[in-house]
Amino acid sequence: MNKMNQKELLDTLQHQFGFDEFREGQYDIIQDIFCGEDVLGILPTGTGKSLCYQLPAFSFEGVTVVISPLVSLMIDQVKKLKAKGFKRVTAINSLLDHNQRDNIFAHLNEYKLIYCSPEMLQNPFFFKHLKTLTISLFVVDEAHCISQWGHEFRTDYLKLKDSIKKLGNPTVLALSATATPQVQDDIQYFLDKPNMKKRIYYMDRPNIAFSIEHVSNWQEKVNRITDILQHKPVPTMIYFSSRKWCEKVSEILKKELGSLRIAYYHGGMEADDRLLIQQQFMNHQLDVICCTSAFGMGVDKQDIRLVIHFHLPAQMESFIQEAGRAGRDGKESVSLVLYTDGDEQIPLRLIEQELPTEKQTENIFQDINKCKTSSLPLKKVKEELIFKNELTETQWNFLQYQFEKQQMVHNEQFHLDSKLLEDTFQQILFLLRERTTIKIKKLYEFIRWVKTPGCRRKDLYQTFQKGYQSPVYYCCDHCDFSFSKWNPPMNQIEEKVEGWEVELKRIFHQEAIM
Amino acid sequence: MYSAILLKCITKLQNERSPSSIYHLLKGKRSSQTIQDAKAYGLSPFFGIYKTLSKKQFQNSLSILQKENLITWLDDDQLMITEAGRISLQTDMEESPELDWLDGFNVHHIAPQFWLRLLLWIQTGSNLLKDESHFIPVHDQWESVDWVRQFYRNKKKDLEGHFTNLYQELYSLLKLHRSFHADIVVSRLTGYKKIGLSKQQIAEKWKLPIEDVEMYIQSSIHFIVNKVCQNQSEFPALLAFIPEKLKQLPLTDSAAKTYYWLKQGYSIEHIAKKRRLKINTIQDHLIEITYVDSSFSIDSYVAKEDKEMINRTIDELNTKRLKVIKDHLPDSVSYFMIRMVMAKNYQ
Ligand SMILES: Nc1ncnc2c1ncn2[C@@H]1O[C@H](COP(=O)(O)OP(=O)(O)OP(=O)(O)O)[C@@H](O)[C@H]1O
Ligand SMILES: [Mg+2]
Ligand SMILES: [Zn+2]
Repeated sequence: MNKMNQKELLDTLQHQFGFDEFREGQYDIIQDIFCGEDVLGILPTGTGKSLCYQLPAFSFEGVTVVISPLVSLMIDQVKKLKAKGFKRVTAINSLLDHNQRDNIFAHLNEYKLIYCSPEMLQNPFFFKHLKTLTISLFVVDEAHCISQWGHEFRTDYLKLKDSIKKLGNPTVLALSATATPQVQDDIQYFLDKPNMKKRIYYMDRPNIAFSIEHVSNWQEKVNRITDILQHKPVPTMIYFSSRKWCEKVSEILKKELGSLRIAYYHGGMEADDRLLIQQQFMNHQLDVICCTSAFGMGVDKQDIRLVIHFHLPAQMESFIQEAGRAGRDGKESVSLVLYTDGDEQIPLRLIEQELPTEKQTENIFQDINKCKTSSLPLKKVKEELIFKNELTETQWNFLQYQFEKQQMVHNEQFHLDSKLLEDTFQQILFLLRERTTIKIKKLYEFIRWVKTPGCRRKDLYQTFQKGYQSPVYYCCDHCDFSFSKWNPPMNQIEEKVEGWEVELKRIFHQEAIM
Repeated sequence: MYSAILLKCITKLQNERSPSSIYHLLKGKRSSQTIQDAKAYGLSPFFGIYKTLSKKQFQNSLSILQKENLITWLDDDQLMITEAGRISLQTDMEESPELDWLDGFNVHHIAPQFWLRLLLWIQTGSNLLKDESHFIPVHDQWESVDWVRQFYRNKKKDLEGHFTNLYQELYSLLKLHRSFHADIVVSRLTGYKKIGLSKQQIAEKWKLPIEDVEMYIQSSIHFIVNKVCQNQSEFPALLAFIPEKLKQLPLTDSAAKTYYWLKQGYSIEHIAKKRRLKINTIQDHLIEITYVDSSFSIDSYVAKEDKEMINRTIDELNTKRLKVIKDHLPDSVSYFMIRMVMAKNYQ
């Protein structure tokens, strides 16, 4: 493939995407891709990683496949591209019904850019269709999911290596915002791309000040938030670790802060309502959003000034991502963590739930053992095993991957050899303990940061990179920051209470006609 | 409003049917049993008015009604309305004319589609008139998205004129709503730089249970659909949003197929064989057809004398319970025959 000259690339950027210039990293990565090089790109959150494959995708002859871990993220990207006038994009996901899927599969060759989940890539029917196409570029978004050390770990990411080979070894681009050197190694190892070109950029955000406040209970957290927002009514996100807390605190804040427009957002809401809330926030109809980690990915609001963590995030990486929602416009912003002794209990419980427990695993093996046949179709027992042992989808996927890896499941059939079963069982227990240890270790890394006596900024970034850029506004509460000094641009709240007649007129642009 | 609907269902079912039949009714389950319940007990306006209702939510609302002493449980898993419940229902019926707007049986199969088209089109037009083509659609239900795309092609020449007409039609219909009701409906709309409220937000803003929000929106949709269909020349702009399906009988696809073969002269047995379905299933289809198509004759399935005998028994016993009726009839009369006769009576 040919290198495009700078002028040509800039033209494409301006005309097709409507941006004036490339952001840091974009030009280099795109140029590498046009040269056919495999690239590992680490760029900070919200700086425009997507463009690194979207621009080449529409210039290439063949198709670009993007592996993305979250359905909502994919759908969001597709909608944005369509809104920009790119029609030949699609997301193959579990929300599509049979007809829609068949329809897309039948016209797969008409798309230039296909988003899909790693699970979907394992669907033999889909893969068969995909193999008939010429794949020019294979993108692994949120590539840290491939590593046990990444903040999310998805077993289906481990199967990508084989899929890439079967698709005729297209150029590979792996992207992530938060990958320590260790995770970067894992990405190369598991994709089997030892010679990948690494494009690693500074991930620190010089316009965000870091502040941590130690309080004695949750009511104090609420009081603190009320106090800050009363004086500084800025666009704010507040992260919680459970849906219940998210709703509860949002309720209280609404009462305490009557003049602010507050809503909550979490994964338990209907999809349409979630979209509305997200759009209201983008459209300045909401000032404060109380959310779980389900919000954030794909949310691209430029003027968020304050991100508060009401609970501890699971680890540094998720914190950096979530706090990184602040100040995408480069203006002065703050990340605040509210901490109470004992706060680590909630993430510890969540860690337990991510993978099956040892007890669940044991029960499952007992259940399988009870089927006294030597071979058993996976389909036949899967639902029951999931139901009986109350497994989540992630938990089951983990198990199934291990079954397959140990050859206990082959071609959708269980092979019930007692030696094999025992080995697999031991292997799974080992992995469970390892993963749990890793996660607990990562949580304590974060807690260590919360308690650090030194500069928060320096401490936060040191595991990821050497050094950091000097802050453009404030650094952290240990160096120079306090809320009383902070003078962010404030929200103009102009909520007029008007009846439906006025509102209807406005929607239909009939204001002139009175 | 929602609790009034539940109370009304409980009253009308005269504890002959289990509470879960109310759930199926509200969800609009296409089974001949549910259709029969809707028709025989006079609950057809509520058929399929709450398609997103979850079992848990439903059970939850029953416990609330019980806690407020509006209903009580009888021992055999049956519900009964209390005196307080009766009074509450009475007041609600007098105060909420919207209850009478619901027309589930006749429009439940087109109401959602109509509404999705309308919502998306209003958002589209409102943005395009301001030259804003970068907006994220409020929903991505395929059929409506396709439809709106097509519709835009036809309207783009005079988008402004069309939008003014649409506005006027909607305005005149909303004017017939109570003002808070119109507020709720309009707050749900998305337009240029104005994103609609979620149901949760509406519930908070108007201090209503979220189920009531759903019911107010549904009643408004049913009202609009019916007004538009009954006065087609007055509402040409809105008429375009009514899906074609309205003109067809509200049958499930499978029952519609059975009906097609029946009209070609095939017997029940033959159709069952042809479609590889159980005879029972085909009989269910026939009952469904009898309920929705008044021109359908049951004479070839139930002899005249049998029909009279069944009707007499129903009158004497004054019940709609199949088992009780069957027990009082000779063995030669099947359940299928009784259900056909009942379906015919409640057409
Ligand atoms: N060159 C550019 N100039 C201006 N804006 C840009 C440019 N490139 C991308 N953007 C915008 O930046 C925003 C963030 O882009 P994108 O979603 O790709 O970020 P990301 O790095 O993938 O973030 P995340 O870590 O959240 O996944 C988008 O609104 C995008 O349109
Ligand atoms: Mg991204
Ligand atoms: Zn500092």
